[in-house]
Amino acid sequence: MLSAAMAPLIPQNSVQSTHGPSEPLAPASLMMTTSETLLGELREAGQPAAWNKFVQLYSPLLYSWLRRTGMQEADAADVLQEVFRVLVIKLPQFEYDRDKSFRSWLRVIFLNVWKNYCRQSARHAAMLANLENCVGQDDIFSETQYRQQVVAAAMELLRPEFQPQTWQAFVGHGVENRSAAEVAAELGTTVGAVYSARCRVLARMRSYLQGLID
Amino acid sequence: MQTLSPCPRTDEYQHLLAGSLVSADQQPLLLHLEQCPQCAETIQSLLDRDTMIEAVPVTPQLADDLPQGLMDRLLALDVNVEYSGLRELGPYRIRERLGQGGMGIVFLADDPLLERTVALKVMRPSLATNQSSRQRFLREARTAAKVKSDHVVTIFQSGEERGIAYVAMERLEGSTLGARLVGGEFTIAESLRIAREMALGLAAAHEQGLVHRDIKPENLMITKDGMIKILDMGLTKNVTNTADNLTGVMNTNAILGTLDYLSPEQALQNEVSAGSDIYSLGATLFMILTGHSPYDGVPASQKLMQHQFGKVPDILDYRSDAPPAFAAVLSKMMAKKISERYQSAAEVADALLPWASQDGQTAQISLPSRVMANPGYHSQTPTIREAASATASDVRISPLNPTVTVSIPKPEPVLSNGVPAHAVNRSKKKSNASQPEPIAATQPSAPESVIPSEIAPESPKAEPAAIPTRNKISAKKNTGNQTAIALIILGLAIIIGGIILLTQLV
Repeated sequence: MLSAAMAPLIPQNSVQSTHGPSEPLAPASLMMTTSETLLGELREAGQPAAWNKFVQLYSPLLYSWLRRTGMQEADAADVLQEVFRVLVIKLPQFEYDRDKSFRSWLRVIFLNVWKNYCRQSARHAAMLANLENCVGQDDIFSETQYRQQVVAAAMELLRPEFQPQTWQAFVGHGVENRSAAEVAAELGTTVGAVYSARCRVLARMRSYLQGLID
Repeated sequence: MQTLSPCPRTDEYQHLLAGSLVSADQQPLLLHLEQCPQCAETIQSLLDRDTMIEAVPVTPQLADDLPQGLMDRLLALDVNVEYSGLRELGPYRIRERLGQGGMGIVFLADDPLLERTVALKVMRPSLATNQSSRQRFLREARTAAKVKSDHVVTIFQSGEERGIAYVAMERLEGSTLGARLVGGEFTIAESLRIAREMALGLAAAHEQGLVHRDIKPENLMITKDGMIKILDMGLTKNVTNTADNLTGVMNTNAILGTLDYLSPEQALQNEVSAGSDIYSLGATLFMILTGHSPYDGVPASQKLMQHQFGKVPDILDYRSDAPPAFAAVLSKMMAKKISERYQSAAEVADALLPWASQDGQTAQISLPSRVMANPGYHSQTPTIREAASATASDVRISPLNPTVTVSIPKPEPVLSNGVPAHAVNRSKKKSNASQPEPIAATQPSAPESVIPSEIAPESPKAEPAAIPTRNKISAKKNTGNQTAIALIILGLAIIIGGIILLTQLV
């Protein structure tokens, strides 16, 4: 029998609904059956919330990388906007397969838009040379960096779907790599509940990012 | 005592961690895991091999780091997703997506009743859920439909179906000036013609009380026939009716308009007026002549400062082949103080008139009544109409219809690259010295000051509109002076002759 202090860490929402209260609602007339994966949602018509989530997931990291290459704020904003303008059309057409990861697909679009932007004027041409220097093993599209950034952004996005204690258990054990016993003691719950919380969040993140990370 | 269910298989936990189980299937596993120390060990071994959250930064890049307004613009791109299943709307059959603006998406559509193709602008559903936004969208269409100009896209019809508001517009084939700029800057001759057409289009919009607010190369279409059309009235503001302010549906703190072409008053988030469009038009002209915006190459925050306080760039520093008088016109369009700019787009069109004729034929110019950028201010710079009215012999003005018929002789020779022949090899500083003084709004100018000095050619045949007016005035003055001198000489000759005659008689 579990005491109240040892209550299991349950998700904030019912298990049948994976969408949190903070999620923007689609107009009722356009609401359709949703898939649990973001790519699936993006493929379906009438899912403006999916686009919102996709933008929130990718825009900060693409923008920060553009800025790190030395691009000025206004230029970075222009390039980013053009990238998403292309993506809004292309995304529903993307089909995941093992030989063509979303990461490499996105990389092609991103670099093409950037190159086109750089070709627009002589001033931008200098940025093209900079691009060549910045793209390589350590760029944002290297497998490790890409995964780290996308997962980190997804964590922020999915956090409202979970109860605070569930989230703290996941972060303490999974991200901060502290022992389950230590985290359980800190939160006043069981070791099993900490494992359960970590698995619950991981499962949600994996299904959400299916097809987006390698 | 709660009985523990049998331990799930390891592969079931693997499926759980892979995210491949639906929620209902996850729940029994998670409940079991909470109570089973053995399964905790199994899971730990699986988690040790899971790299998903390995080295994930605890503080990720956040949307808060994005420049103000960028996230809103990115989110607004969703319309394609929202309307991907849309096939019919009102009487129109949708064919394909053409593009999108802040308020909605534009489709290519067929009107089977009238058997014509239209551009169908459909309001974003996220905005359409708001009744007042929908009403504003349709009100914008009504106002824009009143604008009659060859240089503003024509509205055919507006309507609403299934809660989706739409506007049917003429379909334009061509490209935006922004897209054309990728191929290089425009010639002087092209730019001058484009400039005047833009000004005429704006004048017609201003006449309806509409301020565009976002004049930029991307909002200006150059059709296959080379005609300029002003697009995207989505940001327009009706200056005569604040209830029609479409921007009210957007973030009120956001600076609307593109930073590169933003007027000083927009940079300060002050009230905009027709004069703001004139500034943006000047900045756009600068762009199409030079390939870059007036304050290109500085960070966004400094760009706002430059628009407010920076030196107005002189086009002659970038295009020495530009007529100096045109440079003065451009500088006046981009004056920092709204009171020092042209007071209406019609005035700008007037000022650009000398370069407008391409065929040397009589030009019929419709001048819409002026919408004053600053209602309390009266421009001291005479317009071509005022200049023309100084002499009735060359220009006829109908008092009932503001249409001016101007005899335009053949323009000066233009080289194959579009550069006026006389402009080649001209000293820039020397040219500047011969410019009129168009910016001194507080000092009344002589009527001829509106006429660019360097277009007064050597040969009368190459003289543009209104030039004969000034020359006739000068010629009359010269003739009078010569007659007086002749009379004085004749008088002196008679007096001297008389004195000589008297001397001889004595």
